[in-house]
Amino acid sequence: MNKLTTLFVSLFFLVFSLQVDAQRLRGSAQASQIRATPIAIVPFKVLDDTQFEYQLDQVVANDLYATGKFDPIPNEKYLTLPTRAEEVRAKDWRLINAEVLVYGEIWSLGGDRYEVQFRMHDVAQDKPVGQTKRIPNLRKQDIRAAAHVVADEVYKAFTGRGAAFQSRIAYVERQQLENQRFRFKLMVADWDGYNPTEVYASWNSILSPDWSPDSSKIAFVNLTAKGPVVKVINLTDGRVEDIANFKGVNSAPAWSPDGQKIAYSSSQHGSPDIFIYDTVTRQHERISTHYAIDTEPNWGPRGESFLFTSSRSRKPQIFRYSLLDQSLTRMTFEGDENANASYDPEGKNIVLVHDGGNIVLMDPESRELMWLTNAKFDESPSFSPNGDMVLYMTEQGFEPTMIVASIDGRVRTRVEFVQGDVREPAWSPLRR
Amino acid sequence: MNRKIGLMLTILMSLILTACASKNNEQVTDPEPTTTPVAEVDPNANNAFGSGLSMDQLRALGITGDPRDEKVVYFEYNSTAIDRRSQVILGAHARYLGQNAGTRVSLEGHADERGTRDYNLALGERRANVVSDFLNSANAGSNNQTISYGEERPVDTAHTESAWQRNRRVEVKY
Repeated sequence: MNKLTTLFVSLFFLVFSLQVDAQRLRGSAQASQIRATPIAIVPFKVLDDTQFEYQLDQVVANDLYATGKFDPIPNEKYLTLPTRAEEVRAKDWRLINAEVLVYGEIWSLGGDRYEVQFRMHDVAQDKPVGQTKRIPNLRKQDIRAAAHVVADEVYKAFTGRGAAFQSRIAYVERQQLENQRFRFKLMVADWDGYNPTEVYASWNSILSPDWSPDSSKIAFVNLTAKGPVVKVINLTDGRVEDIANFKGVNSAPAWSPDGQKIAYSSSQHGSPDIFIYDTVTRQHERISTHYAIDTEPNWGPRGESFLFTSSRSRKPQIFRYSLLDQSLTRMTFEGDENANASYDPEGKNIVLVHDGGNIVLMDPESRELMWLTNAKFDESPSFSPNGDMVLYMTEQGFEPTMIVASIDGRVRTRVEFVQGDVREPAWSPLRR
Repeated sequence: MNRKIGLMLTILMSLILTACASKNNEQVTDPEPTTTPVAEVDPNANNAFGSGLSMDQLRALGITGDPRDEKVVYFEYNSTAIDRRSQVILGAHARYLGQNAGTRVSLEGHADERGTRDYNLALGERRANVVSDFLNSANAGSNNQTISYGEERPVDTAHTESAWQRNRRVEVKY
């Protein structure tokens, strides 16, 4: 009888602790308050018989859904399929609760030349938003690129936020050739993983890719017989340059916002410290001198400071170093371990890996944490160029899986075209 | 979150198990008679392989033969501390290397998959350095090369505590 009571008590506590955790996660989702905007994207009318490999409206819908700010309504529900302004009747869209309408046409100009024209419509006010927009000079294979332009325009028009869908991702793919023999490839793809392209390959591990702010170069770490070396690849001509190949571990490169400097960690003096390499003067400057592990530097939005991971608190925690006054601030106190922190481009949020496997957002001012994930092995988070989404790695049924989560925690989508043994994703800035 | 649930489940399971176990215990009256092992006569009983320990003491550390045959030393999570087993093994290597001065020794440091890849590169190097320092202070006189593989080369890819234990290591090669 007594044992039964104990059992019930512990059961009660089990349920109780589950609820507390559920609340913590739900609390994070509530932070956004605003619900997703229902949007209808009408299948674009193709003005000849051209069959495209992908449906433009579906690509637009996938893009917008991933932000958590839009809720695309399935095509089957549409009562009419307008492609021009005079065919739009607001009541058709109010009936299916659409608040935003996107429609358009794809013109075939002959000789593998196409043009997309589209318009946006505010259903509640029943008035068009902006003029008809044209995306000229497309080849047949550019249909997805055109769709990303449409998605960017819709996103900017209805959220007032920056675009993200013409950006790219870098990641590392490991291919097993035979037993225990691997080929590591640095890959670049569209943000949704489409059109993956190998830019660098090695028989040894590649990790920590980081895009230059103009997205023309990627800094990364490559293990060599001597140890880990920081390299930079120029994506325009494929040329690879060693940036830091000192004795010991050289790792975790991070480009400064002005593109002139690369911060990295190096143990050339015995203990891993933060260094800054100037790409113009080619000088290396040692910034931290602590005997603890200092690694994973990531610049503040104006390049005046950087975050880094340090074990000077015994367990890894996040610190911020100001290059203006050389001051050091400990940023994280909650949890055993916090690592790999980075700012979004505006400096509004910090994303980091908490307790070895949760992706967590931190408010840089209040230092309050908001859980984006609560899995065990999530890692390598990076912000979309507009700061509204986070790309990271998780594991689903023992398979490495790349995920994009909206920062309000509402939506998580799998990066659909990326498959295989992949790791270390990094979201690019916008192409300039 | 998962840890908390895990803890509660463990408590729950142990409660259930004790409930079951106590029932069984009531029926067991006499414990198994303990057998005293026959002591082997060994001139090196307290200094097996020159380790300063008896075979039993070595066995208690999980070392079944010559400690120098062990080429891998292990670490606790996020730790670079050299435990008793590692001291015995590295001591055996140091004694051998001391008699073969200038031997090139490669020390490969590794970490388990927990923690970030860049941090683990640093951690693996720390472990290799700690082993190198140990050999030096034990007058191994060897030419040590340290290299870190971080979490890039696990010996066991499972997500279990026992796999992680096997992956947190320094491999001594010469």
